[in-house]
Amino acid sequence: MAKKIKGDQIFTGQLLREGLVVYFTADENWSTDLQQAVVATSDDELTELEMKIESISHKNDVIDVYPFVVVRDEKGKLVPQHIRERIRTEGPSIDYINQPFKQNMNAA
Amino acid sequence: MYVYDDFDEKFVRERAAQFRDQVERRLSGQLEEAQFRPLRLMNGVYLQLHAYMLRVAVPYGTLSSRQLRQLSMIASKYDKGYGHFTTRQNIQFNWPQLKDIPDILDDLADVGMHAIQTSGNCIRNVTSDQWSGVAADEVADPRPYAELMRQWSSLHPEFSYLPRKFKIAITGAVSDRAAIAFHDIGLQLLKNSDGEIGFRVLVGGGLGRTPMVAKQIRDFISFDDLLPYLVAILRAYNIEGRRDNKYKARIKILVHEKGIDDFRARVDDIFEGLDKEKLRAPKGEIERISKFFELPAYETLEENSPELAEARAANASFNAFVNRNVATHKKPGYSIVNISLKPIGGIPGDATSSQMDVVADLADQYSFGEIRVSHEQNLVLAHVKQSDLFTLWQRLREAELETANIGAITDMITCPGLDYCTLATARSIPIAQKISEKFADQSRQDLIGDLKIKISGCINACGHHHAGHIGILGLDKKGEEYYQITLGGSGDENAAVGDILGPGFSADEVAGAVDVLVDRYIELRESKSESFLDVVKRVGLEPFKEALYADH
Ligand code: SF4
Repeated sequence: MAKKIKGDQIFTGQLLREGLVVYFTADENWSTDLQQAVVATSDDELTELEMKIESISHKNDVIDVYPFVVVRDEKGKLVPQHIRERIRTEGPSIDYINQPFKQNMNAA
Repeated sequence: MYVYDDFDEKFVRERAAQFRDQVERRLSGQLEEAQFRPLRLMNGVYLQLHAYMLRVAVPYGTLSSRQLRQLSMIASKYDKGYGHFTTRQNIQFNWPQLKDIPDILDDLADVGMHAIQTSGNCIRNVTSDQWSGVAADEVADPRPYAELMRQWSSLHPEFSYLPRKFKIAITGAVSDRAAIAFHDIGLQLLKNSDGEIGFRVLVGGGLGRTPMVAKQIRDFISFDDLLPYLVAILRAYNIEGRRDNKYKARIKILVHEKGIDDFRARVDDIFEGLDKEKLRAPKGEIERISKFFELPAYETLEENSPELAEARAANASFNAFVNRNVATHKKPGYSIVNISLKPIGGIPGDATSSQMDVVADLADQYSFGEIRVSHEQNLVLAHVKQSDLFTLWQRLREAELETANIGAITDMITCPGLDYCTLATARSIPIAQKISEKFADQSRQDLIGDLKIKISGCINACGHHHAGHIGILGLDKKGEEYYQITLGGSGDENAAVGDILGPGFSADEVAGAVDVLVDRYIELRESKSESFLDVVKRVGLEPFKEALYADH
């Protein structure tokens, strides 16, 4: 069923094996780079993308798939409209890597 | 410390093997996500904003140095070199890959640990006082009873599909450090006039969307009747708890809607009909379990070692650490050392692998190889000789674990919030960091005294904001984070739910708002010994509202 579109939208999900956040691309693949995402600008395009994702053979590789609204910044780059998706794209907003006394660690 | 018997060992190994098989079938596509999801959740594997998250149970918050080293190894081998200690005394890894989780579960099983019942509508990890066994105000060590309940509740056939999750906390002390009144069941160990051990039983407490302070259902239940009585409560809940509405499914709603007297009558009815003999712990079992929790072989020492007095006089930072982080032990010459995981500007509850290794080493050297996790997201070495305190502190300092703020304003409970959690409506950690930086000055913290700030990133209240002297709840208003402040909550033996002050604040305003509230408290208090909570009780919210919203 076609939903009323709230704005330009892209599809996201997470890789089954690794859990990493990915975006659905024009070549019917999944990329960790948001800028590669294919953008639906109408109800019909959104439904079409949804059906495409349903039909691809490697459907099983990605879980928790849903669309969210993006906007373009002044340089024309795609930016999630909502903070939740911005944090998902950019990673935690806190410096979890350089926590105290971590100099001996080889962080993955 | 409790050591698994053959039954536990086999059961945990079997579950790890089962999960390995389930993961393989999922990865090969034989299982679909809808089939696999409940299976992974039963093994503590969640999907968070950036990755999977694995929640590992730390039963009643007690760890051996060997277990902590293994957690450190797991954090560095499979994750990003750190772990997060939670308000349920568990540890969470934020970045494991699904393909590695079977190996992680095997590594956990090697040290008698697992992630079973850290998710789902079952009885979760039983939590307890982090000072169990050593607190000066304790009637008896609650951990043998917590362990008994762990065994009883693990894969309990009747209680594996409850209307909703179920949390039990137990304390053996007069001062409640386990927040028992905010649990589905809270137990307080007591001795009756004959010197017999029993339990005061509270029921229907909880935080979340509908915060409730638990009500007393029994003033004393004997040890013999403990398990049958728990069965009666859980059976009443299992039958009558609502399954039609997730938000009304916790036992607190049932107790609230029925009223405690009706609920008690219902439970008593079931209890009377039970074949109690069958449901009791096997004879000798509690004695067997208790042996694992016998206190270590302490030396006979004088209270207040001269070395300690000398070091305190010579070193102001160490003295501040002793004042804040070191608590009275029931054995003369020993102390309880609380290690803060709340460095100024840091991430509350996080510990890096290197830090975990240091704490494990220090536990071996100075505290009989045992570590505790507190629900306030700190660590504890429970048996440290006072004469070792200075050396221990120096070692903590090398590992950046010397923050002297236990119970102070910068020792905040903080949930992961929108930096990790899929359910979050706003971030919590950056708010804690800003508040922590604002109150970094040790002398100002000392001036303020004990003050508990608790922060949650959504209404689910994992950060216990309702129970904060100052509670902060992150919400979403049209895509923007904003924060509601409550005052007057408390998670101790005088449990109370905080009251909302007024309109919320933006992320940039919260720390400033807390500053205003604290200044107002200092003005209002009659002496330094009048705590923040006492002042709120005496004057009410109005003077704080005035201070906060005067300019609005
Ligand atoms: S309180 Fe909300 S945001 Fe925080 S950890 Fe719990 S569910 Fe997540």
